[in-house]
Amino acid sequence: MTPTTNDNEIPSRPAPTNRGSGSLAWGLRIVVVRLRFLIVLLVALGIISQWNSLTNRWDWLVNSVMGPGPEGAGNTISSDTEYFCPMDPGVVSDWPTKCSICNMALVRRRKGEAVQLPDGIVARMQLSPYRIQLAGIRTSPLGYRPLAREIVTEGVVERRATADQPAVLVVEVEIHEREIPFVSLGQAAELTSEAFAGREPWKGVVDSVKPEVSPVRHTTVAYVVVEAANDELWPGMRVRARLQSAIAEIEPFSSQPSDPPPVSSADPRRVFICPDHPQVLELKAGRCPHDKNVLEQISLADHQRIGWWCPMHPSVTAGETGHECDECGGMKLLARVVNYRPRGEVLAVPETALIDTGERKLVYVESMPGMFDGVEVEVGARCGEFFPVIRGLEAGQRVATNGAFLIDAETRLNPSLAAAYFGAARGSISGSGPADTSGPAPPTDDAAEEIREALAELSPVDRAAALRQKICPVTGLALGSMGPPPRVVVNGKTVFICCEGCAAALKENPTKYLKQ
Amino acid sequence: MIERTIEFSIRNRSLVIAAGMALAVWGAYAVHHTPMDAIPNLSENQVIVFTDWMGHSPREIEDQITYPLSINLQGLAGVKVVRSSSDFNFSMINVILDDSVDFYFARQQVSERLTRVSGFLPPGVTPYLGPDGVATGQIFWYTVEGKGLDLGRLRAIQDWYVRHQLASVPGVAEVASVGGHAIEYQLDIDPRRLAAHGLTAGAVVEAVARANAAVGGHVVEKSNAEYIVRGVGWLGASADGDDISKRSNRIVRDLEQIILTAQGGEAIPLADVAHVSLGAQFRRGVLEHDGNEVTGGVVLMRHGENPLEVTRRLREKIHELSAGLPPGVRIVPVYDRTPLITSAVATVTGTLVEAIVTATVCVVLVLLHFRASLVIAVTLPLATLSSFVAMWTLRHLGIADVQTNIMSLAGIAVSIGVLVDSSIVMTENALHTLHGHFGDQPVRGDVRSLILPACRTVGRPIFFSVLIMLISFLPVFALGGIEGKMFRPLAFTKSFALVAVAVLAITLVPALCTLFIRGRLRGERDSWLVRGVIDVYRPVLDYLLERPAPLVWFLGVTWVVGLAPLGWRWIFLAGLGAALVAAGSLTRTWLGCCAVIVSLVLVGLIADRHIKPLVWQSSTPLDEGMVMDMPITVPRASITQSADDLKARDMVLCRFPEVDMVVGKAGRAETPTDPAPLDMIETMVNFRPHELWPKRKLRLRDAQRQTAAILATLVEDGVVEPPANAATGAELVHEVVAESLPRFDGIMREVAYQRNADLEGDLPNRLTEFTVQRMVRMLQRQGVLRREPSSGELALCMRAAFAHANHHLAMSPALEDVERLARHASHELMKLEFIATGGDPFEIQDGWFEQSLGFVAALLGRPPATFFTRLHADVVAEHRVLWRKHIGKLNTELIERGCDAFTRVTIEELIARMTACDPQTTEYLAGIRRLRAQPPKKRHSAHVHTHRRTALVPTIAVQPRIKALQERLAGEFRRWALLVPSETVELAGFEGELDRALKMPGWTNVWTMPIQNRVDMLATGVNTAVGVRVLGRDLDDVVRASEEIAAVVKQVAGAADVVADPIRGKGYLEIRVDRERCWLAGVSVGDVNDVIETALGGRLATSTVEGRERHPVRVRYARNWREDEESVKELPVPVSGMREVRSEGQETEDAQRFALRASRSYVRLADVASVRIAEGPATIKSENGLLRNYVRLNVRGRGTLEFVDAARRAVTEQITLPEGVYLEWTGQFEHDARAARTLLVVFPLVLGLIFLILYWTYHDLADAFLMMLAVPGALAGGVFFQWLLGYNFTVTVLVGYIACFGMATATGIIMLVYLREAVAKAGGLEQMTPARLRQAVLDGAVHRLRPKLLTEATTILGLAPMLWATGTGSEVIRPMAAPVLGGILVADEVIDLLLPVLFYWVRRSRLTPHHSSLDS
Repeated sequence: MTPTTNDNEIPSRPAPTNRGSGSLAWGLRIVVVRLRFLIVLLVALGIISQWNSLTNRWDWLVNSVMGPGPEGAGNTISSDTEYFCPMDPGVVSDWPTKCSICNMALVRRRKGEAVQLPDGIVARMQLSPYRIQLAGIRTSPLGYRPLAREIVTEGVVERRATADQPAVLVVEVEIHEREIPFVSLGQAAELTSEAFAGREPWKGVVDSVKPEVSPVRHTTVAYVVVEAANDELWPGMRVRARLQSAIAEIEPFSSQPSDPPPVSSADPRRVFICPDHPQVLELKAGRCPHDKNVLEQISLADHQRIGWWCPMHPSVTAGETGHECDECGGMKLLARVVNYRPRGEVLAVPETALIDTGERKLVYVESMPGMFDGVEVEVGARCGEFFPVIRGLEAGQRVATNGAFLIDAETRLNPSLAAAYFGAARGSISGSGPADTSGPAPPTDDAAEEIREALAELSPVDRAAALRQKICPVTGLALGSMGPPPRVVVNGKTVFICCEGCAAALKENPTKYLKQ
Repeated sequence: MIERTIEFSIRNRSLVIAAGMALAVWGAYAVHHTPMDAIPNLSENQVIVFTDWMGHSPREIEDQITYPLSINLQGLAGVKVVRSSSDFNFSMINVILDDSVDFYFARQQVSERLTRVSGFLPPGVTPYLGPDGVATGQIFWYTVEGKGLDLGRLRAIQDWYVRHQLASVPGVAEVASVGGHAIEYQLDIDPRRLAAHGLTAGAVVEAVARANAAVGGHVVEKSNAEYIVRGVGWLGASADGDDISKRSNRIVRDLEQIILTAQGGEAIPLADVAHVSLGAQFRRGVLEHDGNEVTGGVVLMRHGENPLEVTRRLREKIHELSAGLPPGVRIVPVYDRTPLITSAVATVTGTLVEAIVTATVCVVLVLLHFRASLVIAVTLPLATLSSFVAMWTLRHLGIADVQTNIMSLAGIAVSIGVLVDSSIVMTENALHTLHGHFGDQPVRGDVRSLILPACRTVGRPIFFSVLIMLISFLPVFALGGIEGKMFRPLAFTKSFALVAVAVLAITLVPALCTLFIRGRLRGERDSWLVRGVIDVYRPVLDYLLERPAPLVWFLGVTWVVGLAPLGWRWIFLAGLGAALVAAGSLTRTWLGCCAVIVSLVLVGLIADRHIKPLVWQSSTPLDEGMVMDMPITVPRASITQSADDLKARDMVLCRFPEVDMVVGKAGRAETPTDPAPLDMIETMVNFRPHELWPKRKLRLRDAQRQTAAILATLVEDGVVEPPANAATGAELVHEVVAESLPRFDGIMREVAYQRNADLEGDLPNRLTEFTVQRMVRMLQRQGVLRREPSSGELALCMRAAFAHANHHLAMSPALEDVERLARHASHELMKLEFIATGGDPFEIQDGWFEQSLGFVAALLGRPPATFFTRLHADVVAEHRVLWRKHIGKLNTELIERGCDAFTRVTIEELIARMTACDPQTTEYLAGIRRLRAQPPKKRHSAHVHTHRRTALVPTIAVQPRIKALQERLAGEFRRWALLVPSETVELAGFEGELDRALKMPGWTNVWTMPIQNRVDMLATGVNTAVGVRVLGRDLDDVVRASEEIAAVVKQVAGAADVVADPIRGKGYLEIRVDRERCWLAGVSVGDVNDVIETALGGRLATSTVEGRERHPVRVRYARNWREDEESVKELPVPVSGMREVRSEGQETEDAQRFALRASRSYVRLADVASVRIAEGPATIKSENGLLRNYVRLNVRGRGTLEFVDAARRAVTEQITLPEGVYLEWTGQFEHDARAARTLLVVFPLVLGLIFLILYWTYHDLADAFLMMLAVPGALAGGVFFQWLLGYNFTVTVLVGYIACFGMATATGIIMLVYLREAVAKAGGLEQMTPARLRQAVLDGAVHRLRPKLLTEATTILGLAPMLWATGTGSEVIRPMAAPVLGGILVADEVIDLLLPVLFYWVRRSRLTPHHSSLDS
């Protein structure tokens, strides 16, 4: 708008027509008219400079008249947000619904923010029945199976003298170093020969195994005595030997407790556990000391018993309650579930359920309908379509046998589902609190460093309290020297202890320990 | 000069008119011969160098092929960048060239360089150039399907018959096979048996190769005749002649009988050591059609061809080929560019026709002279045609290759208003002059001498205004990159059309005026329309000339409101300040001043707080009328997994009633233009025509209303406790609607799908019936039938035809199907002796009219119509009719069911979220939910008794109260419910219905469109809004850096979909040779490599010769030996050297035995190498020789440029890059930023240029300013309109502004010309008093009103239809039309009112010194 140059002429024109009035008033009027442009300019400048406060007032006015608008009501659903339950973090939904477990309204969060996952679980996701159907995911319960490892090797028939018999047919078979654990004395062997294709195999028994291993071929030799040697076999003949050894007989499976003892009436048959903290196991109903969730009641399966042990010294165990660990200086033994396997059988996970990334092996366990937890497992050598489980899984768990690939891919595509991938490690959230420097001066030696790290895993409030308390009232050890100190509430006071083991002692005799 | 041209044209009008007609004919020819594509080719000018190296890992390919090739390809003329990617099996190098470099020249240059480089590559590896098509050249997909034939057979038909035939069609660059199983003969060796005979795999390969050959033995002469000797040793060529049907079995048998010579010298047959079978080759691609695996092909068009023409030829060829296919096999076209192109052209042509009609109607209404309107109506199409002539000429001269596409047509469409403007002004002025001369008398005699001066007056300004519009469009030519490619065609056509109009306006229009302006002319006040406007306009202008405050206030308000959506606070505040000052100082009273200020501030506040600023966006891609579902998963996906998931997904997609057909591909087609990995699926979703979409959607408003009603009833009836307060209630309704609508959609979808499936099952029979009836009637009309068949006889014919009806009829009846049906039915007729057996009953006998029509069609290159094409057209029409009827019926059913379904779903959802009064209700619903939450029943392991489980489906007793309530509510709903068909936008895209239905775990959905996707696939750059390019020397560093960047960027507000391209994640089975152990065992590394290659990968021994087909024979180890890492560890490796093992000093028996064993000829692979599973790169990308990775992301809810600044800062602060790694920020924002920058620089320059031209023309600074005054007005109006219609800033919108500014300036020029002329007429400024000046200004402005009204009406009415254009290409036209429309509306106000006022003031101020000098 450029007419400012002409501006002065318009107001100036009425001036000559009104010359008759009083000169003072007239002069004032001239001044006012002449100044009008200036005044308008000033007003405009004032408005512009105060625009922010004006807009604030306007907002206040609008809000007070019309009330606040619905907060983002139209765009609550967007592809980069999801809804989760703060109480059951596994429940994640794309829609603002209620939690299927605790019936609380889900909370919106941005996708990609890491969930804190329970110990031992590297990824977790909740899939709706529709998505499970879409991906063709199938689950099946884990069970014990009589798995056997088969060794196929070749050997040469010889005639030898043994202790019992002067001359029997012995087959000298080559056994690879790796297979030595799978060969035991007295093990049955089946022998076949291509020359006698279609014939029923000869039976044999492993008689002895050479202790030395060839440095070149990494093999040793086992001798199989052919039971019903007849004329068909002759020395120098090459035969194929098939040795089968039950996996259950082999370490580490053989040391897993087997043959469950009979259940006595005193044995507790149900326990209370925290779904997110597997180490928390109580015989009475209560709450988890970590997150205050109500403990879940679990009935023990036929093959499960309760045992007592010291978490500091795993070798100290007991069959019933009330024992103490002498090595710890009187720590009460904690209860745990011991899985007994049936004789001759081991826990087997189907081959299709196992995902091998090269660095780790994962199995997806369906912990609730539609909820899949990625569990890192350790398995033994493959036996047909199954792998024997060394640790990581329990009988009765449902594992994804079909579609495990897709579940795994989902965790990789959606980093918030997986703590282990993409570096979003557990504990990183609370570990990055701002209160790091509020504590005492950092200790210098390694132990102190360890303590500091352990304490860093606590929430800032707890950390401050733990730093104030410094030592465990039961053992007198520095807090944090055995990992993050657990928090116990006794007689209305919050106390930190060095490890879970001290909790029972403290609860039993609070006055003794809390004197200090 | 202009005057002289006009004079010449008027004098030699017949010549000019003849030239005009010639131009029209030439234009028609040019239209027909310009290549027509839907979308401009946005891909980069690139040459693809492709190298196959089967079985090698990306790292090997990168090191041995890609790196040497890419560094050697640098430095060619015009090369911008060399980007490359190394994948499993192949290397792909994109040499990206400057756009100015000729495509074929570049190819030649690259291939010359390749011949030199080949020496650096491993032996046997040959790089080759990709086909000479462009990325948008994939114009046609087809599948080869057949019942009863396996995928191997179908693939052989595709590979050896269909493919080569289609590749011979002119204009086709390449036909690539995809999917199916290419077959091969597999020899699976048992290495143990091989070892037993002392043989190696190499010996087997050699034996096989030698066993397959044919030799020549010159000739034998026998009784003076010559006989050629031919030794046939081909596999499968048996001694007793050829029987094709069993050839493959025979080859297998022949292979088994190949003789190997064992170590001991005995001859053993190959069958002893290997298992021979016919199997599938290693597959890297799967094709799928509607949930069934098929095989097919992809056709790539040659560079610069006409896609319409090529597709037509392809379809013809397919029709010809179909006859030679085995029975039951058919070629089904599944993707075709033609409908897209025709619909895009139809959209724009429709707009053009609308504009021509509106312009003509306006002219008739305003001028009340029909013949004059003809003059105007002729120029519009003629200008359009001449722009085609210009394109054709440029193309043939080889200057510029401007193609017809949606953009170039849109260029003409947006300039329609301008195109008629010049002729309107010219004609109107002639009318005015003649009316002034003749008054109400009819015009007669030669009026040339009268028209000439009239035309001369406006000729110059018209020419100038067009020139200025041309210049104002220059910035569009300055755009580079993708925007340039997108908008340059538009700028070209628009400029051509403008030039044409400028020329026509001073040649043809004056010539036509002298001819057409005849009869009685009407004055300005004769038209009620013009009269009414003048009656309002004149007093208003009269008032405003002295008291302009209201006008300034009004413009100030427009200005403030218009600037608010810009989102630049300081510009907004400056605008507000200027408006305040101008309006405040122009008011006469204090009260007025206060009122003006207060009202402006109020308007400013409202605008500031309640107008959401527009953000800068990337241009929306053109809608291609179909969507592509392109999900990706992790790179570890195997072909089996991908194929399974592809089928599962496509079956879901098929169940949408709107979807006609889906064709999916996982992995790649065998062409260098398709680098898709296996973890990527591309599914093309073809929709049915829009009219066949069932009405199945409930509008959100209705859903909310019904939910609220249900809530109220539930509370009223005491089923649930009332919500705490109204706000919770409203929130509850909102939440429930969000949950229940998707569920409702799912139910309705299924219902509609089932009904559609019913129809599809029914259609073949109904169509067959129709075909037979129709055929009989056509034959009857031709007089071929001896008598009319009775119904019984007709039934017989139909039965003959029914046997050949197939389900393809239901999809889309193909010509060959109809032909087959008709032929079979006619055989029956012949049997019944209706038709004489001699002669062809299907020969058509046409009348002379049809014959001449056929002749014209043949001239245009159309195939002649036959009996069957006519019958086919009828059947297709009937197909359409049946469908339409069905949809009508379906819609009534849907609304019936929909009301029930929605009510039920909502009741459930509501009660679930509230406290029910009756605990039984809660329990009942919880029971239902539990039941639904269970995944569908499946068979668990054996110990669960399945039959008992299925018998145990719990039944939940229906609660009578709920049931009654539901029925009542549904009944009420039915009374007012209205369902609508879904929109494409609702279906496709993120969070669309398709997306929600396809939330498959493990797959990330990506929605795109076929052509767009092609461009993206071959674009090696970033296809998201923002991308961070991480370049480095070490792959691990690059990966780590990009992951860190992704983590940091994710935290920045506005970041969405942040993905660091996953380089790693492919599973590797790594075999690392341990050289020390090799030495100990006496194994050479070469032997180990051989074992790995032969045992796992297999080695090609030879190729069979089976007629036209060739199939490879591959030798590898039996399956047991390559199952997993355990079996790989057991692979036997031959020992080449013998090594004596002696223990130091002692020679025990055992040591001897070990030595003996060591001398055995094989060791296990694990003994000489470490075998492990690892993760490695799936693809290695590099750029100019450096390794590269991208972090891709989109920006939501924030300006992209602002976001990039913030993200860049965050990355610099938080990340320390490893050595040798550096970053570049790129992405579409770069294009946008560049476009914005270019426009920001060029645009002021152009404005300055226009100003200079105006000044030079009129030698008056003030007038030049006044003419430019419309530009800010147009800006404000444009922005406001843009905001109103909800378009964000894109390059498209900016182009609209550019067009708008030119038009506004041009209108301003014409107005000023009229004003100046009026002043000149009144005797010039020298003899003027203010009163006379005022009168002159009023007269001039009013005189301008009529043509102004015309141009405004034609412009606005011509543009308005574009705003609601819906067809293909509308998403380009609409945002472009929005600012033009708004800008013109406001600019016209400025020109109509403000311009005369300011003109008056300027002139008056010049008057004053005159007066003062006169006074003194």
